[in-house]
Amino acid sequence: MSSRVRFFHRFAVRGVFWREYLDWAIVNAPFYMHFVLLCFWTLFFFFFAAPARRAVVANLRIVLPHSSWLMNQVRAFQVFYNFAWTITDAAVHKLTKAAFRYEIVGAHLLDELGAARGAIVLTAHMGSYDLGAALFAEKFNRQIRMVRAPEPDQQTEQHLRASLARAGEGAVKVDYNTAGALLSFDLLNALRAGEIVSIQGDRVIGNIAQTRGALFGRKVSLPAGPFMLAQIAGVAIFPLFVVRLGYRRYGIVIREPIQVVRTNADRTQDIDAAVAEWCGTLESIVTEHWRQWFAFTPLVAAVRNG
Amino acid sequence: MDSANGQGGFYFALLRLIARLRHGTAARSESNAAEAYVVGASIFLLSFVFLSICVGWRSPPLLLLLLFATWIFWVLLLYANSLIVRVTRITRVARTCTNSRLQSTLIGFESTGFAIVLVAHRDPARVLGALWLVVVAANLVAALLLAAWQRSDSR
Repeated sequence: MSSRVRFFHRFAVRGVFWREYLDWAIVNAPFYMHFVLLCFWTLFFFFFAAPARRAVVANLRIVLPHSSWLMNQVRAFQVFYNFAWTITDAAVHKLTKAAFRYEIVGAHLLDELGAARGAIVLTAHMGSYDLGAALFAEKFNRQIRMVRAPEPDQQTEQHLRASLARAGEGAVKVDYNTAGALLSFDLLNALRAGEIVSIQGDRVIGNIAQTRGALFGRKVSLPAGPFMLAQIAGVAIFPLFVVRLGYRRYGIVIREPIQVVRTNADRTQDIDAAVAEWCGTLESIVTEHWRQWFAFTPLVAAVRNG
Repeated sequence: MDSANGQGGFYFALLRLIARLRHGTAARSESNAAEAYVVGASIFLLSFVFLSICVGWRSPPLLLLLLFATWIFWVLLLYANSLIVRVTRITRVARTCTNSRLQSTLIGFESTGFAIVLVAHRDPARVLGALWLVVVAANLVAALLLAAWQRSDSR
């Protein structure tokens, strides 16, 4: 990529310029200016990030089938608006170390997770999973390994990686799902050593192992990795979601753990049962918090490609 | 549902004084949602009306356009303010204050300037300007009272 192209690439929708601008605004604009600025920036990206907007609308058509085209556009705007607040809050936490209020739904399960010797946290592209990981690490004083898909833009990826390291104060270690088989062995070792591994399990990005599930009556491709790892390492999968409840207020929603026990039957049957359980959990949480489901790639296209 | 990390308090002196009179705490905080939304929206409205008077736009399509122009105006103004903040750092006028606190002071001056222009103008919008000036004056008085209160507490 030539230096000129690289320069203009910074200003693309997923370019690093916007992330850097956000950081600048957090440091320079007083907190009471954030609301108005965010409303307009949301509008800006709602029009300019057309593929993401179309994907959100397509997903909303599946989640809320009786909603009209116009209502889905309004709802897609709400998704963008919540996304803007979510990344802003993550930047505020990273740069100012401001305190956030959080409420826990399923506190006993979170304690169970905090005390677990090896566990998989299965989450979705919902709310502030970056902030959630940092809060979890802070609350339980435990390291967490986060597996994520890299950003398409290299500079944005570097920026996000540095942000996560700063927000988690070294307690959040990021791994990329593009690392292939080597990562699987690494994660397996980490789980066996008693670590907590966090994986996003609501969509497949890149060339990773996939399994089939059903969401809202549609067949979808989901990552197979978390279920295979849980089965081999003999650890539980804790579905956990971090949702924004209001101004600097978040909810940590944790659901009953999913066990991927190896029975005498075919291994894939055990995994399919766990995937079905996960799909049920994901479906209920997305139905409740569709405003914060930041799935900027279409759900159905994922299975077509798969 | 469990809750943790609870916060309270306000950012602006007037509300902190009221809180102190009612609950006995005047700690500065940026966690109040009402302050974050209402103050930001008020400042934006004030600048929007100020700009509409300056450019003389009255028709709805132009006002809609002005809405976006006001946003761009604020993006540029915040940048201009950040340069002033940088100068205060270089000249060591303000060394301990954070960037956003200095920006807040500058925004206070600028929005009060807009309000003065509105009050001087023969327009129903002068009410908005007058209201802003009253709130700013009350906030300044509250800040003085809080400072005096803190000084007497420390003795």
